[in-house]
Amino acid sequence: MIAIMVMILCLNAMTKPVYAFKLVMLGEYAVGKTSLVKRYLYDSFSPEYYPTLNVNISEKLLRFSKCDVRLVIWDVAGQEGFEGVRRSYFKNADVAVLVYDVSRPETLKSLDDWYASLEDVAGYVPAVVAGNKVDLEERLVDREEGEGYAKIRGFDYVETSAKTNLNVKELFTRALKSAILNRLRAVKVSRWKP
Amino acid sequence: MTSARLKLVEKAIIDAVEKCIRMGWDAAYNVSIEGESGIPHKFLMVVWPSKGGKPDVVVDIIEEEAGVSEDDVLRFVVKCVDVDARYKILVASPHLSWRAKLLLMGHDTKIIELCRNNLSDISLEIFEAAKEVCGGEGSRVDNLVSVLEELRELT
Repeated sequence: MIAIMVMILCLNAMTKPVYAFKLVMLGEYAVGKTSLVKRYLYDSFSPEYYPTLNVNISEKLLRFSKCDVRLVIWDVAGQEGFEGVRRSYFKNADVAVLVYDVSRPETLKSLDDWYASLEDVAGYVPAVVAGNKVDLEERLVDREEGEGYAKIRGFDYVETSAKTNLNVKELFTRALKSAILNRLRAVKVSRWKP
Repeated sequence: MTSARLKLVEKAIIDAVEKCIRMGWDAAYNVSIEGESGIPHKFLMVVWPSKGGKPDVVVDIIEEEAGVSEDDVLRFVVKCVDVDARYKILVASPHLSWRAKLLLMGHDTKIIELCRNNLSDISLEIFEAAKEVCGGEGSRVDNLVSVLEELRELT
């Protein structure tokens, strides 16, 4: 009996559709984009800073009852000098995670430029703003400011710490939710096309 | 076909592959599939609704300066029969002879002639065909709504 159930479960897993979503991580250098991705994918954290070269692509397969979801994460370099190639990575993005460092106010201000470059290439893309490094004592951007920034632009907001693993899973879950909702909206619109 | 034009066709096909993958279907560019005869057949693009199994959409291109004839398309028709493809798309460069069109219509094949269609049509046509045969939007909506419900329970 158990063997049959296992077989049914295996068959179900084999035939389940897989939906892919492209998530782009955006924000200034050293705000913790790569650390958030590493914490989410591997539950690890390194205090040393290794700048990302160009882009790191990784993915996580999330299993659900009716289908599976492949979350493809594009961790884009925050340094200057990559602008030209960087824009090509934004194509077909489903959702963006806009990361800033709560101890560097200028990193919150720069998010508008990051989102504008994304919108230029991919059109409207839902986004989640992440106020990262909330474990630091020298916090200079308070929660209200970050939340207000996100609210005005219609984005979701999460306070995170890759170091202490605060809200990291929550951040990616909310991003996935936004991506799914946006895709469902697109389906609804295309159905009513004459 | 000039190499620049060929590159544009390639780009359009790759764009269609990307679109299909984003929908959750298995799609690939430049694929070899073993037919029921055991002979491998090459296609420019293939879409499967789920992993493995028979292909749902196959796409190929034939180019012939003087126009693609019925003899030219026969090979494509036989390949499709052998792999038992549900939906066939043939990109002809620059155009098809009327006999070739007749032959393809009898085998339920979608025709894209490069002399009549824009390159952007290729990507769209393929994607629309895949949407039609790979379960359509209904099942996709239901599946994604169920993911949202499960995510809601998690958070």
